[in-house]
Amino acid sequence: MTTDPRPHGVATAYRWEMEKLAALLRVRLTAVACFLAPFGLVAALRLQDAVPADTLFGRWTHFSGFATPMVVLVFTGQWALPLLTCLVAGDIFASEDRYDTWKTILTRSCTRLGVFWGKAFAGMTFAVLVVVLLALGSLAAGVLVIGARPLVSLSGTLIPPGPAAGLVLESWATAVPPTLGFTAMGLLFSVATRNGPAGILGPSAVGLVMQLLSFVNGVDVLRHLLLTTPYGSWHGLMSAHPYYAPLLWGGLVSAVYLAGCLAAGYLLLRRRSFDEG
Amino acid sequence: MTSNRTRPLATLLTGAALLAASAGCGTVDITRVKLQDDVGPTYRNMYVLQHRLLGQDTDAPARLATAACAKGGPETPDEGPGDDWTCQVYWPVNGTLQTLSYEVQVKATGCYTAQGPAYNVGQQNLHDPDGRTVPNPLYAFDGCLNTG
Repeated sequence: MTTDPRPHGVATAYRWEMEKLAALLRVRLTAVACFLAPFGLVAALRLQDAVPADTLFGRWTHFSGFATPMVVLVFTGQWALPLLTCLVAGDIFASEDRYDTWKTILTRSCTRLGVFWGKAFAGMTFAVLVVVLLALGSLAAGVLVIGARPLVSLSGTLIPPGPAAGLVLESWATAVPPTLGFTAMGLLFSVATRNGPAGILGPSAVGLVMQLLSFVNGVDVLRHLLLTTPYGSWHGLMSAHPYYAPLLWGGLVSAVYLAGCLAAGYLLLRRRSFDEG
Repeated sequence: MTSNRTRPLATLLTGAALLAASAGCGTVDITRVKLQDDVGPTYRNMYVLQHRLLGQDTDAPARLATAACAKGGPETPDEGPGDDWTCQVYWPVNGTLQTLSYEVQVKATGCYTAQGPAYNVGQQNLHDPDGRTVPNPLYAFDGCLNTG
């Protein structure tokens, strides 16, 4: 264990995992839906006078197409992104248990460490892909269907179309760290439970509990430690006087969840015995 | 072998401890000063935006950027989320300034919704010079406080 002469085969494992993912109908459908669903939302919004006024930027959905990706970010950041990313991450280890294929993949040219990182990186690649597709899909839907009028910032100032597009993409980029955190949580659930549905739904349940906790008054400290809080760290970007402290803190919190879940997942996998199967 | 096994766990625990310690330094996220420092300038920007949408030139007095906020009754401390915040802002009428009261709902996330008196600031939607329906920025507006 200490000095394994073989290379770990992370790259091989990663390529293999990506090929398997690309062949899965569930993965393809999710990717297509992430890009196209915002068009459906915008079409539904255009058909009615009502606006989602209880969501940030909701009042401006008929006014500026740049409000659309922001509304979608607020909607998905709270519950959909953890679920979407765990569609892959939550099942990526458990599927080997389901098909009883652990022994096969470990006797190939990959070590346990190689397989772990190959799967972890594949899960994280999918997480980033989901965020990118949702961002581009909702930005395209807003601009094409509603139009590229200036965006009204959270301070009431008008942001011209060019900078608005940039700020929208930057805001979406801030959703990547917490989504990677939930991805790592999905990987951990997948290793620990050896059960696909548990791995897929577990982190979403944790996310919902975190959201409930964030509504508890008087515990501001706790709120700063939750993995759902960084999903709001873009607020500072959309202000007339931008502030970045929540962004930096959110990145740090996400990194701790990511590292913690990955470390725990790897330790569990390393201690597992695959002889009995 | 032992150090190999315990290192990630130790790193994890140290990280969690550091995180908890530094988070403990923070005080209350939502305060009266933070809220009025955001509602005031945002209200003034929305006032300017309303005139712009209506195709009118406006010279919004600087005083419009000052708000005075309070939460609940006199006994309620002026901090924390809640839907019982009110903010007094200024409204120009014939060269003088009246006070208007906005009802402000502050969420735990630090984001708020301020709703103004429709009698003064107008209904939910406006019609711009081209006849298009546009939202009235002063009827209700959203903002967020820096809770970092």
